[in-house]
Amino acid sequence: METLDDAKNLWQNTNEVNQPALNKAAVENIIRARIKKEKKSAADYFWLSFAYQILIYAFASHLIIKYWGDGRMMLLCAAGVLLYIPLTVILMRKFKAMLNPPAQRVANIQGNVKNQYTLLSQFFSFKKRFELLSLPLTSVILTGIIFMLYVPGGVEANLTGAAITCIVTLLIYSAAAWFENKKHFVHPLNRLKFILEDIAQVN
Amino acid sequence: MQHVTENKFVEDINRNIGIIHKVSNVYFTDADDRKDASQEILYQLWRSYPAFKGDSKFSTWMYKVALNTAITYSKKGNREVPTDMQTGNWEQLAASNDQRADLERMGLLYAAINTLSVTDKAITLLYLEDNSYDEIAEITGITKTNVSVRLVRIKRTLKEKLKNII
Repeated sequence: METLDDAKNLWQNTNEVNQPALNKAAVENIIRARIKKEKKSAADYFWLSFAYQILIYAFASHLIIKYWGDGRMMLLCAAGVLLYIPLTVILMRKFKAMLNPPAQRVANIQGNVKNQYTLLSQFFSFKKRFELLSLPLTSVILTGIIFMLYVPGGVEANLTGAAITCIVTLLIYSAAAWFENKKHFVHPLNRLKFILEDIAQVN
Repeated sequence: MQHVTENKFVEDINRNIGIIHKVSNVYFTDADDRKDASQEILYQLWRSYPAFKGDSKFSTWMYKVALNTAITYSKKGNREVPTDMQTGNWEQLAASNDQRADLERMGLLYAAINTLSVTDKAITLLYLEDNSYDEIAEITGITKTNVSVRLVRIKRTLKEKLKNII
């Protein structure tokens, strides 16, 4: 091939795609399947998060009822529940908004990638702030409850042990969050950033 | 499913059905990925169709949606190049058969395009599809001058990869 024009000739002479025309039923089937897939993806995330919430609420409710009258235990459990309710609602709303952005005029490639990058990075920033608050608090609450329930003397009598347990719990939570963020946010954001740089490149 | 039941959407898509397949072919090498991407493109077209007001050609709008979907749908990094499409294999492929059928040569052309970055793939596809520089600029969001500069570079790259083949 001497020039890209030769390729263009070849392309236009031989690249007539003889794809069968789609009928209405086929189009509807494909779209139904994609909607189902998209909903399933959102539902998987929702139910996973919901199951985790149910565990927290069930555990906290159980302890509140069992230790009714014990002010500190009730306070810790209530703090756990109260911490998660508003943050979960906000998280789910933002997730839903990210998944189903309102229909709008189709942007060019550069605009679209920019939008995707902004949307994802905004959600990621919120998630990081959410984690910055929720992970230490969850670790503290969980450590407090465990020591009150299972360690004689509670936190006061075992400050070093409680601190170590709290730090270990926090490290486990942080590691899980780090891996999740890397897979679902850092890598996709890097990829989008690379595409943006590629688009912006002049030479 | 209200919009889908409109015959107009199906008719418009069918008139330009080749765009979906060509974009999928350029961005996805695996047959299953191509099928999946084609369906995703169709779905995104259906979602965006109500917002299409006819202020540009239908094919231009369709390229925008299809390319946007293909570029952001692909999970792979755009520096990733399948090993059998690396430059080293081209001379061997070229020498293997002088009477290569057009379809085979098309396969090689697709493979050469596959080695380009995601943006250059889009520009190349649009150029091969006989879109003007203005249209390419509109679809990609790159300035017309930049399109021209990048096409020179793409031509040089593809010429090197495809010399003596087509």
